[in-house]
Amino acid sequence: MDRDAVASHIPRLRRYARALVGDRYQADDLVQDTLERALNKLHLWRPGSDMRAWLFAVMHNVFVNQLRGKRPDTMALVDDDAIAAPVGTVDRLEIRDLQAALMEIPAEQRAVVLLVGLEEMSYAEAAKALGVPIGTVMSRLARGRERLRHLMAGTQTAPSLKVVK
Amino acid sequence: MTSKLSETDLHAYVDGALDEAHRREVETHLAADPVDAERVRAWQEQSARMRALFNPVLEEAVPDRLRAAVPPPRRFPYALAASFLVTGVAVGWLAKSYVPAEPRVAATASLSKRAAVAHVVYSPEVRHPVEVGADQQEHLVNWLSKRLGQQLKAPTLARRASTSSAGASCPASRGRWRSSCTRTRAGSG
Repeated sequence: MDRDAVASHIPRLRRYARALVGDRYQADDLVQDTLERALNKLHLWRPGSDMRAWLFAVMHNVFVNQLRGKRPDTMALVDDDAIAAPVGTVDRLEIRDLQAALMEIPAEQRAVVLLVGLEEMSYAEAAKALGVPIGTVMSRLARGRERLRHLMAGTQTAPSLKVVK
Repeated sequence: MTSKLSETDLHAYVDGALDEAHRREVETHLAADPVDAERVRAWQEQSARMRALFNPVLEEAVPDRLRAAVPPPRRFPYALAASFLVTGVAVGWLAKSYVPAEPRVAATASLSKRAAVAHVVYSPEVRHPVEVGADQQEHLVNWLSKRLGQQLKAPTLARRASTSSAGASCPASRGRWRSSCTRTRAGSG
């Protein structure tokens, strides 16, 4: 049953949304909007195709629409609630750093970094979910990872970083 | 970075998207280029930390509002329908022992059969739809003999203190013209 299949993807949608949005409740809002939209458009999903990729594409569209409706400076402050890892498994300060750094890079780069690094999607799957060419995925991934690296290293000179190709 | 390798190759290496030959090539390069080696190590660490940070979300209970966002579809109640069917069959089976089924069926069959036989018996008759009076006994015997294709004799009833009053052809049971019937009247008739 397609609805059951949609429901089975909720945990992964929540994980990605939490990382993308930063705040637990806003993330679940995003998941809820995604689920409602997905159910309304379930007839557009082609049976046999990758439902996860389709759901992430739906979520991305919802997310982009939300971004457009918000002023950038009200978007996604880092919230301690969003930190899900139990203290001790990873150094708490580093978690905070990664969480903060993620929220500092542009959303479009954050999305690619997360789809590839967290969701472990192939570049082609990420391109499909985001509705952009693979080349765009690669350049966003490169820029996003380099910005994160500089942020994590405390050398916040990232904005002028030039990507070497 | 050597000219043969692109930044894309380094990311693909981090993401495990290279085939064996390319992977070795990148490793050779990284061994000789500490700057790229450090970048690659940092990217790998980013992904590892992301998973450590957010994988626990997978284990969280799904909030009710999200569960409610995907309501189970209203299905045709197959189980209920099946239980009705089973009940119906059981009731029918049990009822069988209380209601003698055969007489009803036989009665229905024999009624139509009797009607058909009666039709065959009476419809060819032109002159004698009902009966022939006893005063026309000779005609009666001839008529019935012809009808049955067999020479008949009128029974002598005087010894039983009866007289023949009339004769007619009648459909008999089992669909055969087994007999003609002769109405008798006891006593004075």
